[in-house]
This record gives sequence, structure tokens and C-alpha cells, in this order.
Amino acid sequence: MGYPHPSHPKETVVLSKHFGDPEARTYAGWVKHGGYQALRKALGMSREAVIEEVKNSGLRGRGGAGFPTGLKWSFMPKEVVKPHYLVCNADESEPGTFKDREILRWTPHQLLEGCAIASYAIGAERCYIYIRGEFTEPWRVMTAAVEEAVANGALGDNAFGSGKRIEVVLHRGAGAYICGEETAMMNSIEGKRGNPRIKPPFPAVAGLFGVPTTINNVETLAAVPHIINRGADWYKGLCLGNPKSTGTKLVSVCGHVQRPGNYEVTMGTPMRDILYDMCGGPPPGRTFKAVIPGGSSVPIMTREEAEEAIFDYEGVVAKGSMLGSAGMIVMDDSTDMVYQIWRLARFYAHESCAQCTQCREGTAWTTRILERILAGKGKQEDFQLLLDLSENMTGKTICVLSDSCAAPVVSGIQKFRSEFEAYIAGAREPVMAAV
Amino acid sequence: MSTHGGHGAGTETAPYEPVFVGPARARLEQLFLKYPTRQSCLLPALWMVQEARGWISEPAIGEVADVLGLTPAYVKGVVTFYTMYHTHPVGRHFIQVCTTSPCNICGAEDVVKALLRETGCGELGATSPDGRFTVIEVECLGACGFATPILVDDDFLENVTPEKVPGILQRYV
Repeated sequence: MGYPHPSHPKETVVLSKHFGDPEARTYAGWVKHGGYQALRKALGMSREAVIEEVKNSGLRGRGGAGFPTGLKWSFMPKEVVKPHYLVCNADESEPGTFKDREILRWTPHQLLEGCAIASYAIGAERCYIYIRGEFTEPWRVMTAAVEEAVANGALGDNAFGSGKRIEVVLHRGAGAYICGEETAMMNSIEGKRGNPRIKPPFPAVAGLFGVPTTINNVETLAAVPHIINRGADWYKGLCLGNPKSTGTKLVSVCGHVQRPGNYEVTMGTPMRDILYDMCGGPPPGRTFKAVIPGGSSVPIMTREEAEEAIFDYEGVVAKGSMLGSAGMIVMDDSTDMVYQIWRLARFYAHESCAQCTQCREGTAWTTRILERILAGKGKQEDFQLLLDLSENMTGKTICVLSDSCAAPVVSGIQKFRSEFEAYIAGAREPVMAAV
Repeated sequence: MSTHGGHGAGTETAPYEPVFVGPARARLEQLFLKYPTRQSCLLPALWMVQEARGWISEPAIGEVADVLGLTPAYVKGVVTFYTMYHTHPVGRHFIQVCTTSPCNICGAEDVVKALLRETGCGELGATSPDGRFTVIEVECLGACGFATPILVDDDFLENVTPEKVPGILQRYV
């Protein structure tokens, strides 16, 4: 069933099948829906066979980077000499993205089953699920689910009698977007400030507590039980043409559409179908102006680019942006693009951990320049200044937070330059007081 | 017990009462079993302090440092990194409103105005004269399809509009 809207006929409902169904939140309800069969099956397979199955499915990371999941798991040492850890990234904070929250609060056992299978595959006895501090309802639901899973023997010292110890620990964040970056998350679990770490070493070599660690997004792990149950070939078959992007993807759509919400589509679905058929198009009397397709950290698309794009990893890149987390922010013709780009820059300035100069200074300076433009005090030179700054913020820091700030600024100037010009020329009323 | 405790939690007349005694101490000891280092329990311990006291005072920072074997300066560095920890007292009900772009284009700034007006807080971060509310703007709450989401204490409310604000506030005395 869909949530908060009924499933649309063009959706392919796998992960979201039980969203909105309170029964699916309980252990008994989940088992009734076929839950935990995949974990039992996986525990009867070799670790290598589980990794091979996930590799063959073509599953790629659903948090934003799109890295092949099975390949990531295969980087973990085969021999477990030191402890191994699995970390589940449930720090969903990317503006426009709200899919993991639905998995956490409606199908907690789907996630726990995925965590348990992944832990087994990578040789980890403990999995930390890092849940952002603001997700109070998901925290309560997950806490109850872990207790039930332990009480029923799915998790614990001897998971389903396999002799394998699989423990899940919930760790609550405390308000920091940057902790969604995997190395910042490891620091945060270790009781440190959430500063990203320089890579290498990569987490599979020296991650959490300095030992081999795999970090996967909630949606990635939630897909794993389905792959184990129904096979890699079935998953690979969920694909509308491009074999590099397989399976289903949850799309969070927000902003100026008639039916915002989460939709689950087969990779390769035309973006037009999502925007118009599933979401009902723009509000009455409006037309779309822009779409940010993958969370706020990716380049802005024009309406034309979005309408022509194929929704998969490569298809969105072909139209000048990225699939990212598939959090789509849709803006209609009433939107002041300069103001919204400023608001995004302010977000990144607020969330910068401040350890790299380019990011700490660049995000704040970008914000101030945009404020000057919105106050009617902008200059023609500001275009070049913003672009130069963005250049210095891209590919030069420990993590990609400052790159993410530059993406909407650069694409915004390229595609909506006339709106900046209007403020600078005085053709548009200032919306901010001069600083 | 603590070299950092006993300085008073804001007033001279109220000596600092430690948080990690009795059941709270037992809860913390249980947490130690879930991590290979005590330092890892810092975020959970700070949450426990905030649940018990409403905010994290200097003496509380000292107590947390003591029980985890860290220095107060280190703990303070972590406390100030994370925006959800309060380093000063706040109203009885703490309201967080998302105003990041997805909610912004759906009218979040009007929700903020309505909250500031109806609570009597007047400005962001200030506590209402009756001590009932504090309102702050926050970055993305991760519920963009339900604009505008707000958090009142631990209650996550969706689809809030300026019109709904008075009715919501009535539920929090």
C-alpha cells in the first residue's frame, strides 16, 4: 500500500508494500507478510554466496553515491581477525529526502532483516543503526522492533539457532547534517565531533573504532531481504533498459506538486511519469520551473531537462544532474530561484563542520553574496565571484559538503541567470534589508 | 563525588544534583556493554542529561566528563557541535520548525511567524514571558513531503499551516 497516497499503477511496489500498515510494524505482522525468511535462508548460505547474490543483483547504494553494494561488501577482509562492524546510515537529512523515514517507521523489521543479513555477509557481530536525533517516531518504532527481534531469536547471541551472534544497537544523532557522511558518522558513534575523516584509509580497512566497517543506507539494506528471497535475477530484471541501474528506487517528491510523497519506481522510469502521473503535476494554474532531482546537493534541472530525463543513475547524469538520494524538490513558476538558492547556501553554511577552509569560508561567503544580491546591492562582478568561489569549493575538501553548496549556485546561475540580473539591475524589489 | 559538580546549576542556592545515580547510572552501565569504548557513550549520556534536566549545564558537562573518563573541555567541544543539545535553559515546550528550501517554498516562513506571534516568543530562540515556549528555526527535518513539519518536544507534527498553530499550541500547557 502506498503512503500517504494509494500506490499508483505505474509504481513497482517492493520496499514500500506495507507502508501505512501498522500491523507490519510488529514482529508477528512482519512474519505473516513473509518476513525473516530471507534471514533464515541467508544464514544457511555461505557468507561469500550472500555477497555474490547481492553483487549479481546490481544493487547500488541508495544513499546518494550509487556505489555497487555487493562490491562494497566484498572489500571487507575474508578472515575476521579484528571485529567487523556494519553501520546503517539512518541520518536522513538531505533536503528533499524523506524515504528512509518511512522504512524506519512503517517496516522496521524489513530494515533489521537487511541489517542482519548484511552483518552475517561481512562477518560483523554488531550493527549500529545511526538514527538522526529529530526522528523521534522512527526511534520509538525501531526500539520496539529490536526488542521484539531479540525476543524472537532473530537477533542475539545465536540468531535463529545458527550459532552466529548478530546484535543491533541504535545510536541517536543530535542534529548535524554532516553526520550523514560516512566517516563523520563513525566519529559521531565514537563520541566525537562529526568531522569527516580523510580517505584512505577506507572504512573496509580502518573504519569504526579503527576496524573493518561497512556503511550502508537504510533503503539499500531494506532491499537485501527481497534479493535473497527472490534472487538476483529477479532484481536485475527490474530495469527498463539500462543494466547499470537495476531494481526499484524510492523517490521522495516534495514542493510544488499536487501529491507530494514517496513513490517506488523501477529504475529507468521516465521522470515525466513521476512528476505528472504519480504526483499529479503542478498546482492548478501553475507550470513547473525547476527540479532538483537528487536531494539539494545536485545541480538544478530546468523543467525541460526534468521532463526529458530517464530516472536512473545514468539517465539523470545525461541531463546534467545526479540521481543522488532521489529526493526531488519541485519548484513551480511562482518560485524565486535566487531566494531559494540563497536558502540552500545558508543550509550548507550552517551545516559545515568547519574543518576545511574552502568549505567554512566558502559556504558563508556564498551566502553573504546572495544576501547582498537579494538586498538589491548586487554587482555584475558577483556572478564571476560566485563562480570562482564555487570552483574553489569543488573537489578540494575532505568531504563533498562544499561541492554540494556549489552545485545549486553554479547550475542556478547557468540556468536562471535572468533572475539574478533582475535583482542586480533593480528591476526586482529587494526582499532583504541591506547588511 | 565530582570535582566539577557542586557549583550550582544556574543559581547559588541550588547545588548540582548528579544525574548518573541510581537507575540512570544503571542505564548508563548497560550502554557501556554496547560499545567498545566509554567515549562512545558520550552522545547517549548527553541525551540522558537533557532528558533529566532540560538542558546541559557546565556542572553537567563536568559530571559527564567524570563518568566517561573524558575532560570537560572535550565534552564541551562535542556538546557545542550538535545543534540539538541545549547549552542554556529553554521553555517548557521546545518547538523546532523546518524552513529549508522544500518547506520554504511551501510556506514555512509563515508558520514561523504564526508560532512566534501565538506563543508570545516574539523572536527566534527567545523564551515566551510565561516560560512556556521556545521556538527555533531548524534545517531539514526529513519530512519534506509533509511541509511544514515541526517538532514540539518529541512530538513530530506534519503538514502544519499558520491556521493550525493556535490549536496545536493549546495541547501544550
